[in-house]
Amino acid sequence: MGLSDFLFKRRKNKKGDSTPEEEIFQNENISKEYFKSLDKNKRSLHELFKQTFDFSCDDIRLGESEACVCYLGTMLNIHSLTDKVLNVPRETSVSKNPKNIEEIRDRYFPTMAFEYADTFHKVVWHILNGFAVIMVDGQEKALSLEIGDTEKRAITEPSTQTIIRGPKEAFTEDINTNISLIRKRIKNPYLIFEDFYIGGDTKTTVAIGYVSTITNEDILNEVRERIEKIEIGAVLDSGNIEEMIVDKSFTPFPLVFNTERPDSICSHLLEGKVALIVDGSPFVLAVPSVFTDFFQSSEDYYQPFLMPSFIRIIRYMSFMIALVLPSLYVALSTFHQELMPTQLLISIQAQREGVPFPAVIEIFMMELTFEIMREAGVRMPRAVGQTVSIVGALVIGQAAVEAGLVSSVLVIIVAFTAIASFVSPIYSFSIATRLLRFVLILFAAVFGLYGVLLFLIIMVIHLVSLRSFGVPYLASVAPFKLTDQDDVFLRLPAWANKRRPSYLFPKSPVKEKKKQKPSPPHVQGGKK
Amino acid sequence: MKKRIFILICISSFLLTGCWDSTELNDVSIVTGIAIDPGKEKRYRLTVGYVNASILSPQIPFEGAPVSVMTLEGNSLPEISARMNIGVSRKLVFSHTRALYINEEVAKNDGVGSFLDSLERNPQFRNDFNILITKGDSAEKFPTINDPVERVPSLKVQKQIKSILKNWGGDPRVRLTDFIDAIVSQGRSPIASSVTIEGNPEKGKNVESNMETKAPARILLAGIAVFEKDKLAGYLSLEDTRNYLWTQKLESTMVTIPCGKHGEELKEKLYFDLAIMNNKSTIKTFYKGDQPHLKVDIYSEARLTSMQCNEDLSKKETYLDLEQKSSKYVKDMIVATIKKVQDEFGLDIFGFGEALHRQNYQKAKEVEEKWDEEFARADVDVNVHVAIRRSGIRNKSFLSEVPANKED
Amino acid sequence: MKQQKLMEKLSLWQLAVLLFTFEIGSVAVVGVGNDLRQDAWIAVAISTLLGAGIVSFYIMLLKRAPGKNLFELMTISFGKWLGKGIGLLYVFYFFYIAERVLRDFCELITTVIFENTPIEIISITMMGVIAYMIYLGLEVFGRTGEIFIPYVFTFTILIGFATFFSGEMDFKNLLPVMAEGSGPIIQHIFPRLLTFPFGELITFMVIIPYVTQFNKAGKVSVITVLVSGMIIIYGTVIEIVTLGTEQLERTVFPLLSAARYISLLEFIERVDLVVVFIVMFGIITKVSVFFFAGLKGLEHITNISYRYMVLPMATIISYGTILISDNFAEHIEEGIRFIPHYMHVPFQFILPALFAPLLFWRTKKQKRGSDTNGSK
Repeated sequence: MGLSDFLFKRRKNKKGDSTPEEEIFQNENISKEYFKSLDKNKRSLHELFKQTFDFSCDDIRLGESEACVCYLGTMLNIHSLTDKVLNVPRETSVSKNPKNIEEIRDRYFPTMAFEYADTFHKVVWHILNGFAVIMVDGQEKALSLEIGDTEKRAITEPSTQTIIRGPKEAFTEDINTNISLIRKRIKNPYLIFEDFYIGGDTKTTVAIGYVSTITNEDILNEVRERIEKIEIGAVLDSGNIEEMIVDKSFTPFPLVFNTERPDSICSHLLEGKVALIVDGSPFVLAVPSVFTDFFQSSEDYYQPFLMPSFIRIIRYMSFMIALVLPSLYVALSTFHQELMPTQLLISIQAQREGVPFPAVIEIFMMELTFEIMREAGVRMPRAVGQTVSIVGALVIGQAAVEAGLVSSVLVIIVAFTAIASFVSPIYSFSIATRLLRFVLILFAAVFGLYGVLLFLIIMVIHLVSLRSFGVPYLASVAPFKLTDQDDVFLRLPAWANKRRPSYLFPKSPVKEKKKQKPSPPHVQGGKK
Repeated sequence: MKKRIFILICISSFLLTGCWDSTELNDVSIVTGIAIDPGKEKRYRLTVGYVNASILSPQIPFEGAPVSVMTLEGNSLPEISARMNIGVSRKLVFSHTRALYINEEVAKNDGVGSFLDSLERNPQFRNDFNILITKGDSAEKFPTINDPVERVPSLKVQKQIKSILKNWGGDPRVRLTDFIDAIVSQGRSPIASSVTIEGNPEKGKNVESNMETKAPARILLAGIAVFEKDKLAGYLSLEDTRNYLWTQKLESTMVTIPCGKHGEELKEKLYFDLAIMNNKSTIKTFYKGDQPHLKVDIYSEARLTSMQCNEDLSKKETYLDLEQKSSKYVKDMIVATIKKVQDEFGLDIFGFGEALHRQNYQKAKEVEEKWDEEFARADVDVNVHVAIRRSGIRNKSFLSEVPANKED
Repeated sequence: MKQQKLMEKLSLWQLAVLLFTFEIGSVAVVGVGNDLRQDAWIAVAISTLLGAGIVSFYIMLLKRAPGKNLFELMTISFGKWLGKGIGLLYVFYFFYIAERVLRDFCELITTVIFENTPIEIISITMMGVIAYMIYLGLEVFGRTGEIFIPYVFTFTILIGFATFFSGEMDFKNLLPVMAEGSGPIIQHIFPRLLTFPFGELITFMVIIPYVTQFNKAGKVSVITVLVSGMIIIYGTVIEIVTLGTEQLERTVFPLLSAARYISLLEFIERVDLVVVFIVMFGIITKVSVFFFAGLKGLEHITNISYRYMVLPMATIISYGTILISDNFAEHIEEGIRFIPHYMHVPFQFILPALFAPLLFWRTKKQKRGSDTNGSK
């Protein structure tokens, strides 16, 4: 059995009994039929792969039959191919001619993972997936052997979502590795992965994973439906999929959770969410996701509950700071001077003395400068990136203040805002605050604090109208659910958090039934 | 999509036309002190002192005047302040006003009501500035007296008032709304703080004066100014101010009490000091027949801070004795103050009328119109209980251990 | 992508939230019973109890025909044409009150914060937000309320504590209690306090039918009215003890004036903004409720989905807000003299009292009819 068969529960296709391969190639001009004649098959293959340099079709003899091994040299480990396939017929002494393909396999390649290909589509598909396909003259089926992968990136530490305490593994670009990373953590027969092949040109494997005893059927069907509807040319990263399946794209807020941490995906799966794994992307998606997911780091659960609860509040606060602080400065300094304490006002005024720009322009300039520096810092070669931050901090900040172009208060504000915007554990969420911040500054420049409030109210209205796979984006706060509050703003200790979030309508809403609050032994003894 | 573009256009058109009320910080001057004098040609002469912020910046060394002053005449405050820009470059912002100096001439002859209305009406004016009646010099000099520690003069005055209120009680804690409430109220007469300049105000104007260790001019608090409705009626000394506050809400104060029995001829002038910490006072007004009675109950906790008397503080009896002495002393002080107010002004600054209003509404209605006369003829009864709690880190004074004089 | 249906449903909690913010919304701007000086809170307490009674009366009417809103009830009791005619009057009433409430807020902003900004800008921006919310539906409205209620509630409570710790409260201001006897209080309660803010709950006769657990809605509304009544009492007491009776009578925006006294740690001072925030969300809720009620009425009359009418009606209201009175004095005087007697009382009490017997009679007939049908 092939590895993919082991990992994926093959989906029974609704369109009848056509295999996924047929479905994939149905729109393309490739003949379906697999011929008994080796020559014919070879010719078709050569026709199809004629311009590919890494395609090879090596003739071998299996006993007395003519055969050939076809493969993409770059997709498999060439050494094991030579060892396990090409050299085998020569070394194996065969007394009797094998009758059919099954016998051939049995005799020559008894230890290898295999699959039979009875259609030409399957042959092509297997070659594309890095199998070595052995076609034997006069046989109705071809034998596809799994050789083993080419070199791929080893499992490393996550680069974007680092934590201090907790597992240090991250997803890689290979879907099978990723799935095995999840399976390693959830050893549960009800953890199911279904595969889809998406992308007219790329045929990328996309797997949805869920725990069938927990995840709600409606959500699952919704996910399946949306994925099946996708018709795009290329899927190069999970971001491509994300864009196609969100409920509403005209929003700065991410409606799909993404992470490169297997432990985080596992906890989402166990809450009743669906994971979307895209081959070639180390970022795995989880749907439906809600606003509060973006403020939770998996580390929260690996530490005693008091600190994470505090940190979570800090995260919400810094979200607000990142969003509001610059506009608050604009509003207070240009509209509501009376709201500042006198001493503070005088010292801010003293610093602004001689600054030639209005506060709005000043802050826009600095925020834009900062965004440019940030972008440059990410794109620059790592060795140069350091320089950018030094240049940014020293030259732009210090020199601008000394030249009297910006006030030093403003530099503090911009820097603090920037730092606060990095606090969200999920990078894609900080993008929302970065974008909205500019709009908010505009509102503050026009209407002062009234504008800020106005914008915040509009933002909240927008947020509550959002849905992620039918689940309200602000679920468990609006609509309010008291039972879900154990893991929203605070993280209550694990023994108090017994229920899965109710907005996901899980099939089994209760995680642990027993009362497990730990207590010193003598209390139990006393009861006995 | 068209709809979205339409909405975007609508929003942006709003955003582009906005900013009616925005003023850059560089375009405003923060006014901290306002002084009102009688005008020569027009009704008032208004002086505003506004902060020169760049001088106060920590990066720039000490130079230049921390505030600048502008004087203008006119008939009403809003009118004058709106015209200030004939000589001031920036828009004046009044929301951080810290002190309002009113020349006693204005207060005596014109009354303060007419301009207090414009202050109360304007949302820019907060309720946190001090109303100060200037004694002696004209009000316009006050916002200009420099101080080396607090470089903005009006901020200095406010801080000074805050501190004295906290430590000794020389300011009646009257803000704009309290003052206006008292004007309106039938059962209370308004009061305000008064200030004087000690030294030479002309020298104090000069920033150079900050270079001297002994300031050539200082603004001093000078007790209470008593008002009849909105007109100045007279002054009470600082001691009386403290005593007044004792009947109201005193935070803490210090009293010096002679050791000997009251009225007794003292051989030596010996005193003990009490720091008064917690005060509770209740005011009661009632009628016995037709005679109004004013009753004040005061309970104070005290800490002994100095002891010149030759008494043993390790004994309970000594405490009791001292408590009695001090209660008596404080009582006499407060009674004297009340009597003084009754005799000199006949104006109820203590709020006895309001107490009557709360306690006996019907009677209060009857006497409402002539309350000040009723107040003037009322009997005063003050009960003071001073409780001395502790005496610092020594019990007996070392003075009592000094060998006595051998003359006797 | 599957089109998400915009749903018209409210949970009980959302209903309570909306009711609460609705009640304290305008009250936070203009205050209640300021003329009664230190007895204002007594009047509020009494009218809260009466208000709970009024609400249960409205709920009783709704229970006669579950799932039907005010306008549908009127059609049931008055017949199609008369019902729609009276419905139209209610629509005008709701829109007019929405304009008045909005005007309260616009006046607050233009007096306290934006002295130079045209009042139109405030009304248009506010109405824009409200229209956006109402366009997205009742569900979004309810959830928005849920998001803001913790802030509204805690800030209201905090104002009291902050003024207390700033040492600005003088509880002696509450004395003497009922010095003038009960006469002025009763006069004030009826009709002014009873109609505003309690009688105005008649608008919820349009919203309560959309609550998912309708049978519990009555209990929840009554409790909420009592709770919000307590908060109003709390606010009134803060105003009295902080401002004192003399000032309370003179001030235009009492809670705001009270909050101006707050000064903690020499840093937390000048927090008027907090009040403006409470007020702002309260006003948005209140206007939205009236606006939604009016739109639902129009929907019932014209049979066109109310979403089509959100924008035009919002435009009319934001304009009408400016037109209803020339100056602030006129606005306030209308609110005291004219509105309670000639608008609130007829629409809140007389009309419902009129159609109540009709409704009972009609629904009884219907029920009997369905009973006999069932027995056949």
